Amino acid sequence: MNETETYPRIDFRNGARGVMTWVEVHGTEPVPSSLEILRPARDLADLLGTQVTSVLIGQGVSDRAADVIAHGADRVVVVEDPRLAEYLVLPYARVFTELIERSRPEIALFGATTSGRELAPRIASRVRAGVTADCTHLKVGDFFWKRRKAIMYPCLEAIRPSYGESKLATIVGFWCPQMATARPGAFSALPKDLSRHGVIEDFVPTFEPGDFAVEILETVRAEAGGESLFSAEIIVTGGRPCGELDEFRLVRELVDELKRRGVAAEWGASRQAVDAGYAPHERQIGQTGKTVRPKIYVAVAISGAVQHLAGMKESGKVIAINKDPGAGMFRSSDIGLVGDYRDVLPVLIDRVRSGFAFGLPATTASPVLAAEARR
Amino acid sequence: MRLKVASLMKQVPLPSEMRTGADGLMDRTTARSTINHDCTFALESALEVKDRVPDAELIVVSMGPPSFEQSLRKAISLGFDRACLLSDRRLGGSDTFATGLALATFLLKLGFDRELQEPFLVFAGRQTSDGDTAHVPSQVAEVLGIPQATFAQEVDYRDDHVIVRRIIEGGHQTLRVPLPCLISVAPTARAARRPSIKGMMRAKNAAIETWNLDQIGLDASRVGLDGSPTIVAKTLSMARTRPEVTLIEGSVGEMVDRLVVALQGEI
Repeated sequence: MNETETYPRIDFRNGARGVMTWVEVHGTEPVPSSLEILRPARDLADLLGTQVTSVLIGQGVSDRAADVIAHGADRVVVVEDPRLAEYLVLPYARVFTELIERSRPEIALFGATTSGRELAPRIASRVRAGVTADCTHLKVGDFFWKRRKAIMYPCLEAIRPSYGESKLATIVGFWCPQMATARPGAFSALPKDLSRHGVIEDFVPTFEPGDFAVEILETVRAEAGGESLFSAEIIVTGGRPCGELDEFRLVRELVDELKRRGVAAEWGASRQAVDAGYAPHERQIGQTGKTVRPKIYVAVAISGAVQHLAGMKESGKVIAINKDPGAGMFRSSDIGLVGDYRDVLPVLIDRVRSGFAFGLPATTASPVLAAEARR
Repeated sequence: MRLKVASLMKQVPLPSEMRTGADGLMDRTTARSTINHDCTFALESALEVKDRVPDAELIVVSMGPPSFEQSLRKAISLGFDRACLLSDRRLGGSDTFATGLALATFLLKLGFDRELQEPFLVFAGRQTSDGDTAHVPSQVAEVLGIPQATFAQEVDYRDDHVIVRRIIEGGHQTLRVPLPCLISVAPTARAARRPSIKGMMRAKNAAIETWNLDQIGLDASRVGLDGSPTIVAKTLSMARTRPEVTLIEGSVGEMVDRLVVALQGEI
């Protein structure tokens, strides 16, 4: 007999029930990460025998509620307000605070976007809840709490890579709601099922004047935010040296050449390269960036920190190019080329010109992609 | 009224020295350490305010063991007026919620209190390299009850407000944030300046103001493991799912040839 079986089992939720999610929108369009978190939300709710309530805030967003239900929600709470057309942390935190106090969910999930990563902790401190950042797996389980000599259940097991070593940390907590953010791409959205039924309700929160203290002067959303990284069949990601030595010229040239051959190729960057200003944030692959699963992943001059691995380890074939044979990235790769990328990439680019497509199915060059690549 | 500017700063282990202890928490006892990378940008943001408002009082604020003194002195050498450290063994095991509460309580004690109706600014780094959550700045702002802007790339101080350029997915946003407020700075902002000779001399003799929980009036039950709504249940080594790597060495032409062969018929 397991020794912990003699300890009392405590349902710590104290009546809190249900899973809440935030549907982040750009304009009126839900962002992919918001639909993705509906998958773990649905799974957790089914395991716990409860419902998923999604919160949709903005201007002219009501029409989207049906889509949110089709992607897995049971209930959508819509907050329509012209002042909320663009995300602002304070009024959005107010909406969640009121909804959490009213409906007392046991779990609340957010996409780990630049907005979700500040909104979730702000709410957590206000409603006295725990929040775990950048989760890759979300499960339900029991936890034997040594300090209280009790088995706590049903816990949200929020799993995230921990720093410095190749470890996954499981975080639990007994204050409701148990909150977590999940990285874009860490989960895949459920297929849209228009036969699903759900409840849509409007909600009017009570704002305080201070909630609108911050004013948005300008919003510039130049590109879709690197979404094509999620559909790419091959991703070539450069580390900081690719920025320092040639400003990603060779990495992008390889990708452009693949695109010209009709291959769905994209380029990414390590966090170090992004932080040094060589690539935009939306191209960052890794724990605090995007999680990608292309068929071929080419890591160019990347050391292989665990945060980076967290964002690409489910890729098909991994090819690493590094001049240091001891680079950690090689240990997480299938094929390693030991050499300076400035020597290797030009030869690779030549091979692609003469028909090599990394073993990806030969496609006739798409004129559209080719035109895009030439731009 | 003298403008007060705080910069939150954490000292972190060098990346090469990180280990997890048997309890699943970070073992910081043996690692050599440095100022957290993102925090250096927050220091610079505060120094730039002082360039504009020479009368401003710059305070570097940290929470951690006495060994953080080396980084606090570094901040003094850059031009900070005071260095304040919250140090108490009972803070051990604090998660981001409890850390936010402790730092905010410390800031209130140091006069960063909106009830006083005096202008102030708090800067923080986007996130730390060891915790990697980016939670603490938002949680400090919430406890202080002040507006925030995170992922800031540019911060322009304008008397009673700041204009902040914030990174968002696929672009950026310009915000007008009234004082008092907290700004967390991304590492694409301006990098920290170098210390001056005069600054280094001053740093040598500067007093590091060290406070404990009793001195800031925070009950020990509200921090540490007792005050933290999250705990590390377990850590697991990531399972290795890939076969051993095939390392290819030689001339570039040979390497690429072998890569081409290796990928044939693979996909």
